Amino acid sequence: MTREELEVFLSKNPTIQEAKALARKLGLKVKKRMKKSEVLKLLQDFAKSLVSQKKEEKASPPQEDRENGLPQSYGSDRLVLLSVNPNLVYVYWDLSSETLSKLSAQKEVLLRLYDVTYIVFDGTNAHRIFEAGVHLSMTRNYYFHVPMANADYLAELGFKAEGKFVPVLRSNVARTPSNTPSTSVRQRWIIKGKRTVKIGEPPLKPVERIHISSQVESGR
Amino acid sequence: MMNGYFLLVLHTHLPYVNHPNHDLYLEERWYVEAVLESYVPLLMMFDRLQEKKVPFKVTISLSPPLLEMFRNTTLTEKLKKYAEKLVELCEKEIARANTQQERDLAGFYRERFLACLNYLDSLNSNLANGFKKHAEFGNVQLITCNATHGFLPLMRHQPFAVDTQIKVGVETFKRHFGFETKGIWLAECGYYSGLDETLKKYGVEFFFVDSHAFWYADERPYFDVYRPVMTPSGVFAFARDPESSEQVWSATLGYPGDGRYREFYRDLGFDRDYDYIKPYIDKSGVRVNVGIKYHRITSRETPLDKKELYSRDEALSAAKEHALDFLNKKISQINSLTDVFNQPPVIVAPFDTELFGHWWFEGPEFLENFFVEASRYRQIKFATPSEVLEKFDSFQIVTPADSSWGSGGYFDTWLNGKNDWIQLHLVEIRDRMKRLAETYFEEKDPLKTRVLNQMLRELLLAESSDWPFIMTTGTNVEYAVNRIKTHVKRFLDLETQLVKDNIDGEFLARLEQEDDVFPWIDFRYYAAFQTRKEG
Repeated sequence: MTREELEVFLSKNPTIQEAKALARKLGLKVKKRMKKSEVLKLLQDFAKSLVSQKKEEKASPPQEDRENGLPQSYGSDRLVLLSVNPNLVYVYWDLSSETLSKLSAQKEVLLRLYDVTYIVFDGTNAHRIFEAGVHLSMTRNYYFHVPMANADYLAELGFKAEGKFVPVLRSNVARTPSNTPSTSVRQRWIIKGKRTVKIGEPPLKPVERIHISSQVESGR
Repeated sequence: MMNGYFLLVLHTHLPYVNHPNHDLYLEERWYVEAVLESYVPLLMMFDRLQEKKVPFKVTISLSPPLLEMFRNTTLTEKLKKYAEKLVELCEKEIARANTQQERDLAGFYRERFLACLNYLDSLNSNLANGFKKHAEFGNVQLITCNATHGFLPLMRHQPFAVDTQIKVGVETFKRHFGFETKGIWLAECGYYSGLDETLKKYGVEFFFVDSHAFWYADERPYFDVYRPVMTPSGVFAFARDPESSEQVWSATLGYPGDGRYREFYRDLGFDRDYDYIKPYIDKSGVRVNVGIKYHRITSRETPLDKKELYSRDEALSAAKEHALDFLNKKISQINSLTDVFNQPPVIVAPFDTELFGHWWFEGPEFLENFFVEASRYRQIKFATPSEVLEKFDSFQIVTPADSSWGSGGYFDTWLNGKNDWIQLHLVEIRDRMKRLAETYFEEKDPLKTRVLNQMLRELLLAESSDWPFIMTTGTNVEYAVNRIKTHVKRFLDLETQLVKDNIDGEFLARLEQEDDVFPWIDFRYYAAFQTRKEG
């Protein structure tokens, strides 16, 4: 979507649902409780950023940044997934020109995120699937808000053909950090000298034979 | 009688900033300020405690880039030259002072800078010697940090990168001090489950995490954050006490905000006429702090131009009051924790070293008073982590939760819309480094070896957590962006020259001079991870 197209869209006074859907499609961060004016502001800001991107592209040779000539792509065909916090993961892709043209030929390019916690993923058995439409010419990354902390996620970039999702690239697995105390009541302790690991049933009595000054350890 | 242990941990790090072909660079001032305001005053304070035979124990992590800056003679010369210029400025200030109070303040700074210069000379111009001295006395436990302070949780899917960060951190420490580190400070307290195995591999016995790494661990910590735990791989973890940092840091209750303390933001660099101050500010003519500050905070609401003059005596009595207050709070905390656990608690209070002296000018004197006053009480005992591990004979086995001490407690600061673009480049060059390290593993040609070693240096320098941090906080962004781009570009240029067998010796020599960290480094580290051949 170009800046002009986006402005046309905005000028038509879209409903909040339409605005949110487009914002999501563009990979912008849309929060549930956002008001319509906030979503429109998000889209307007995004439209403005497109202009500067265009300028940059014009001023520089293709595939290179202005200043230090860093490549914009390494053609590595890589999909990388990183957790940011218990409820947010980041995914970016770096495509080879073959993959890019293969995907660009498709009508519906999709990014999928699977919850694969404690399963051997076979492509179909994820606990949950999150999906986002992707404009490859515009976005190179995406943030997924995820419901589960302490869960394993995996992403796939692909396309939809005849109602079926066809994956092209698969990411690494990323685990979101935990944000609540463990529900486990197990306690394991190591007692020096014995070199054994005690598995205690709760509540384990604290070790009572502590001698602060004298007990210089010899085991290590 | 029951007592408790208090562990003061000072994490000491600055990114490697070295521009040997320029006069004092704006960002090199980070180092100059930290040395003059924090490192030297803290070392002098340790000397005083040592002389007075006051018992004290401090754990100090010194990051590898910082150790490499300590050793950098060009940078040290710049530092000394600048301190000498400040002495000269103080003399001008004494001559132009209108009141006795101003004259005294200018004199105070003059003495201070001169003392700093003398102190540096006494250490053969390498601050590492000052830290080592106190480590040998047994009052300071020195530990390392991962190589360039890279944020490890974001590298976990490239284990060879994590491996090299740890290996280089451990190795740098040994090269500078001649003995092995027992512990490590993980950059930003960035931890993920499994990282302990890499630490174990390199002989690291303990590390530090934030409080919630214990609270949200796989099993509940019986002693909360008040005793180290052992990870399944046998490495010990210490967790931050939330109360201690709150008491010092809090914007409303924290000590450094007291009106009697020195005002950080009122500085001669901005106060004086442009022509007068020009020789002492940045060479580009941009005004910067010069570190001579005549005013006190007065009150938080007082606008900068209405601040009152600084009184050293009043500031020092504030430092003493606050030290006593902190001590009382620690003792009552120890008492109540002892009531809860019926065991001696271990209170871990980590801080960025630059808080003491640089941000909080009187911080070193606060710590000094704290140790002096505490020596009169038996309930509070100071200890190093290694000592604490000796004192107890049982530890809970726990896997701490993935976490950091950054805003929000996770990885947001180092991965967000402002800095996520760096991932593409970092992930790519790490992967390339690994492939090249495997391909050229048996390489004998000295020039090619130099190229590969320099590539690893560029990669490590690009990995520093400081760059994405700066992009997030929004000051000096341009410098941080440039640093990443420069190191990545240098890496890619060297790679092209290597594979085309078209090495530009002059270019290589220049990079070896500018990005001159870890002169002993071996690119094979990146391959050794997999092949298990040690380079």
